[in-house]
Amino acid sequence: MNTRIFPFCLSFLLSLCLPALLQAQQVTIEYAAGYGIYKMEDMKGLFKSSISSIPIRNIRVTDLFPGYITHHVKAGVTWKALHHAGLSVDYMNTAAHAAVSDYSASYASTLRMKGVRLGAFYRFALPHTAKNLLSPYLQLSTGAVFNNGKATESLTFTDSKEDSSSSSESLEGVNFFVEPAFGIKIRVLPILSLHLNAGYEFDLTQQFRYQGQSAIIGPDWSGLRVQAGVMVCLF
Amino acid sequence: MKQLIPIICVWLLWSCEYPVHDHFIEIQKPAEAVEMAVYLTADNDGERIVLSESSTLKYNLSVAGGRRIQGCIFEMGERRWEFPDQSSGYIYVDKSDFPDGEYTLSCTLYAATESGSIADQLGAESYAGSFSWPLTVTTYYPPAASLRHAINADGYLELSWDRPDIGVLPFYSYQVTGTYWGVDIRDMAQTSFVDRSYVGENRWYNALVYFENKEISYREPWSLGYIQLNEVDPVFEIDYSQEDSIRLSWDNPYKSAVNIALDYSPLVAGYKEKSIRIPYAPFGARQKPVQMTFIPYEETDRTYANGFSKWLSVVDSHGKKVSSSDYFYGIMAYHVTEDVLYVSDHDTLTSLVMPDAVVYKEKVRYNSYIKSIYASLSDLTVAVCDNNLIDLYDGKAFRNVRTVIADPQRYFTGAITLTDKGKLLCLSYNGAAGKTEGQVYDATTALFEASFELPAEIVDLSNVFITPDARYLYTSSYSAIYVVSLDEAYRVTGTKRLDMYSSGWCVNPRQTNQLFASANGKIYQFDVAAGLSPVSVWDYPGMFVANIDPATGYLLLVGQAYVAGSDYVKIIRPETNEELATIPVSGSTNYRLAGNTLMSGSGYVMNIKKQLKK
Repeated sequence: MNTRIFPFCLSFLLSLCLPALLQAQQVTIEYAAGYGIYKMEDMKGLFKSSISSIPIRNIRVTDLFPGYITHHVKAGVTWKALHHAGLSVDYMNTAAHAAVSDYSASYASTLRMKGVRLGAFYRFALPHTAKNLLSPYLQLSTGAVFNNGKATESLTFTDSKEDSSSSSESLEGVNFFVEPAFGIKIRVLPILSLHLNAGYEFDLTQQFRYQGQSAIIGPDWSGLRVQAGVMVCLF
Repeated sequence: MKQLIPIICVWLLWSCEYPVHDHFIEIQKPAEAVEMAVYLTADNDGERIVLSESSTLKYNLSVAGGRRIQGCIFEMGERRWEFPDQSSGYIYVDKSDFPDGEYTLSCTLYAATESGSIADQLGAESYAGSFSWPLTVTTYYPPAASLRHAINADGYLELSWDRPDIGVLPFYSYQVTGTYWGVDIRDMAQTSFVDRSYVGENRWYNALVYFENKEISYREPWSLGYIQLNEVDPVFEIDYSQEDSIRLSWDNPYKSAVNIALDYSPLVAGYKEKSIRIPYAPFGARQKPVQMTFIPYEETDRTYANGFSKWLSVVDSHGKKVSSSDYFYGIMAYHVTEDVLYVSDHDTLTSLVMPDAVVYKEKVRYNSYIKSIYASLSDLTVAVCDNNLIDLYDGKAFRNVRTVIADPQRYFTGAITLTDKGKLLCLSYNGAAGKTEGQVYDATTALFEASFELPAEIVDLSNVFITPDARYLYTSSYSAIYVVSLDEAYRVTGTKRLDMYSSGWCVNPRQTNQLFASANGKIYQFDVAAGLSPVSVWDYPGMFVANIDPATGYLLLVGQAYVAGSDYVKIIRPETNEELATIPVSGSTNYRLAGNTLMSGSGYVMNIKKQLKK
């Protein structure tokens, strides 16, 4: 399903952008740093159940897929001062971690989730504020999240005579997302603007594959997104 | 701008991966060491473990505080034994894996610290203790057999052996076993044992030393020796010197009591003395078998003992036994003039000087058995008859033998006499003619002189008496007594038949026409020359006629055999029917009287002159 929808959406957006591109007035490059909160319900359940079977007392889950810093890079074009569209690449990561350590040894189990979003965006500025210093806009993004999960487990003894051990497993998959957002553009210079926006990502699909086989669970990156960045108009 | 680049790089690197948090907990480290111990159960000499055979060693592990024992590892040489999660167990050491020599058995004991740390939870944290023991592998060889026996001061059998060198092997007991019997001795210092149940019989003894079985292995016992004791021969003495009883004494080297059976009847049981007096039996009793069974002295020692028996014979009849055999058939003859008794015992002829029956001479005749002996009333000649020949001797020294040999197809019946004219009369069976005939030989030359035929009516010739004057030949059947008269030429001149179911008869050798017969409790005297009517009749119920003493002329009457109350003889003066003596005798044998000497068919003689009424 997601493999058919994603190309359709991307093609739709690009088709919307195409007239704009033909009428583009500026090419923009934008970088924003943000913060994202992630649902990750399935992954949380998976992690907790794996920890419960460890025959070591006092293990604590110190991190359970909390929200973390995100990075966003956009490249687009603007036209008629109202429209702004383009492609975006976003990076987000989080992790779940359970561990215990004492004088004799340390045990840790970590499940790191990384997602690289590749999509398109469209911004529509409110008409009577488009040329103001502060210009609010609505934004819609869509695309794919390329998931990468890595589960590691390690047991390290303080006494080097004992053999330590570690293991890791990797999982991959692709989600399809849609993210509506609301933002404000602050024109600092004719070629330099600041952006602030907040949105919510909806992962329409969650997928993981382990050793080529589809897993029954997948990372759900759905959640609040806030970001602030700098946009530079190139020409 | 250039200053921003490193800041941007740091920012990017730091924010590209979410920093996870640690969880450290404080746990008290366990003590450096704890008390540990390994208890090993094995043969040892106090300093070293000693293995003399494949053994199973028992171990017990102990850790202070009751900490969980994770296991132990034993090592010796190239062998290794691992015991995970066991606090006790067994190590089997195969002696074939270890040649004789010195070794070190080591043990590493592991116990959990129980600190609660991660390493402890995963079994990676433990206390370790090392222990070792010196160990010697050796081979013990059982000692040479050393079981000995002797008779101790109390007269009991004492077994002894050398104390074995068992090294570190755990002594359990000595075991001494004998036929039907055994005893365990738990004191290793006791290397002897007194068997009070042994009295000298055939018995074997075996002594072993057993080792303690410590629930881990069975050790073969060692042999200390085996002996086989053969039955002893106690020394017996029979003293006939006392007139009222016989003294039987014995000497067994082992202290013992005795059961005595006389003539198969118990006499005494558990008798502890060393001699006993046995009363004499009536005259003529055959030798009695005496069974002497030796048993343990104390009754409490008799449980499993069989003892042993010895047989001997007691001549418990008064008088003197003149025949060595118990199956003497009373073949005797008395020479009046010499006062000599001639006795035959199968093939041995003996002359005994009376009245004391002292052996004068013995002569072995390598012929067939002697059937009869006849001593002449006129001279020193004595005739000895068997199947094929009759030997004639001069006197008690058996000198100057002349032999009458039976013709082929003849045999002598045993009826012989020596006449006052120096002739030998005898009966022989003529096989060719199928009849018994009388023959006459010269007693000096042993040459044949004449023969005579007997009347045809006389068939039974088993009991014949030919008178010494050759006038009569007496014989009898079941229902009659025959008197055959002979003339001087030894021809039959007449036959008289006395119908009588006699129980016995005899003829006076000095007065050959005088016949005595017994029947129905009466004694009849006949003068056959005068006729066949009895001259005298006496009442002697239960008595029968035996013989006339050729020296005194006394008549001997004998009680009926197997009749109660008839075990006696009477000596009668026939002229007056005077009873001169009544002498108890042993029944079931025949008796004769000659020269005041009572003779029994069982081979005894007794002078009864002192018992005759004066």
